[in-house]
Amino acid sequence: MGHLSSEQLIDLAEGVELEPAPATHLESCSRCRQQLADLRSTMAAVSEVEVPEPSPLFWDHLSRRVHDAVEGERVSAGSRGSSWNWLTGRPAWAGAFALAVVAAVFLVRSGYPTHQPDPSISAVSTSSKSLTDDAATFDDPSLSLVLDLAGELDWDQAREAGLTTHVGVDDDALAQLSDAERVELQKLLKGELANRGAWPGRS
Amino acid sequence: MPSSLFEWTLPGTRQPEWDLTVVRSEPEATFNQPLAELDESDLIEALRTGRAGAFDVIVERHKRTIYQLCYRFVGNHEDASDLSQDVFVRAYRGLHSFRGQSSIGTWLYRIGVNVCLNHVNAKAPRTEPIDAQQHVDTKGDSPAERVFRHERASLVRAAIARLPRKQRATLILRMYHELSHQQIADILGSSVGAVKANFFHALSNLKRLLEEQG
Repeated sequence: MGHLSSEQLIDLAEGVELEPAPATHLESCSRCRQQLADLRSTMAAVSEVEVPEPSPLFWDHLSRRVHDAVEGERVSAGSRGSSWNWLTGRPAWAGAFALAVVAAVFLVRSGYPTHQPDPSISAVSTSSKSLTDDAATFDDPSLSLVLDLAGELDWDQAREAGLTTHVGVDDDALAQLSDAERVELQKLLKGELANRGAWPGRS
Repeated sequence: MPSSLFEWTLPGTRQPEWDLTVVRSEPEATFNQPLAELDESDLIEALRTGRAGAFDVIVERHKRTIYQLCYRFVGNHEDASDLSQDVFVRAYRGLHSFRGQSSIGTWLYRIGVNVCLNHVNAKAPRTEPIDAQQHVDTKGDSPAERVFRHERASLVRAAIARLPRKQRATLILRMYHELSHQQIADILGSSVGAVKANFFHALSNLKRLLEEQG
């Protein structure tokens, strides 16, 4: 039998048992035994090299970086007309959505029933007049347009597109700034106020 | 059939002439389940349906592995951090092409190896100074042992950086990520036999390079 193949030597170095014939060859061949010993010693040297553990804060930082970069991708894809999110990057729809919210509030306060169906109810039966039909009773034709637009909008899509917000979002953003970033923000705000003549220290 | 009906009649209007019945299908069992609890197949489905936050969960699950892979190729924290971000952004861009035939991990490894090999082809290897590696677990070594250990690690890293592309990728995936020969073959687009041959040549070349260095 000839010398062991590279595959056989790798299997041996990794602890895989050989067939009887190669095993017998190995016992009698000093060259193959030397190759196997070299492989094992090199593997031992390689395995000693570790990746330094980064700061514990790094992992959250990396998550945020990736999240922001992916959001950037999402927005740019939206502005290119990608199917990922048809709503993102379209200010016209954002404006329409805001108008729709205002119109909905107005309509509810103008006498529409305020009771809502129980979420556990899986079916809804409504009257012969739809919401859109009744919009025609208002003088302002733009309300009809707004209601048409609102009918096509979905709350989840709007939320994913970043059109909604929550109380304290600015505080959250501030809390995530580093000291250096806060100092820089302070400078920018002072500069802006000074430009508008509202900063008391302005000369 | 709906379990019950809900009458919604405008005040002061006449009796309905027709009824509109909306029947919503039952939500998917996984739709309301927290994303972090989803197994891989459900997570892939959540990605396909565009569920917000699904990709963040993938990042959370794989960021450490991808960072370590990148570090093995580039040998410094800054580049490894940038490349890790690049890997995930490319994965996001390529979501539409992910068919689910391999695991998300294997898919990310494939992207990671390509990104890292492209990077190291374009840039000369740069390793960190000794001060930057203060987080290495030295296991209670004496200062002299620590220096010796660091020097030996630097030599091995430098030697790995000089290996041909496929040998280098094979060695890193096998030795440091403990992937099977079949997984490595899937990632590198080769056969198990070719992976073993590459691994053998990588170790042989590494031995020679280490002897040359000192």
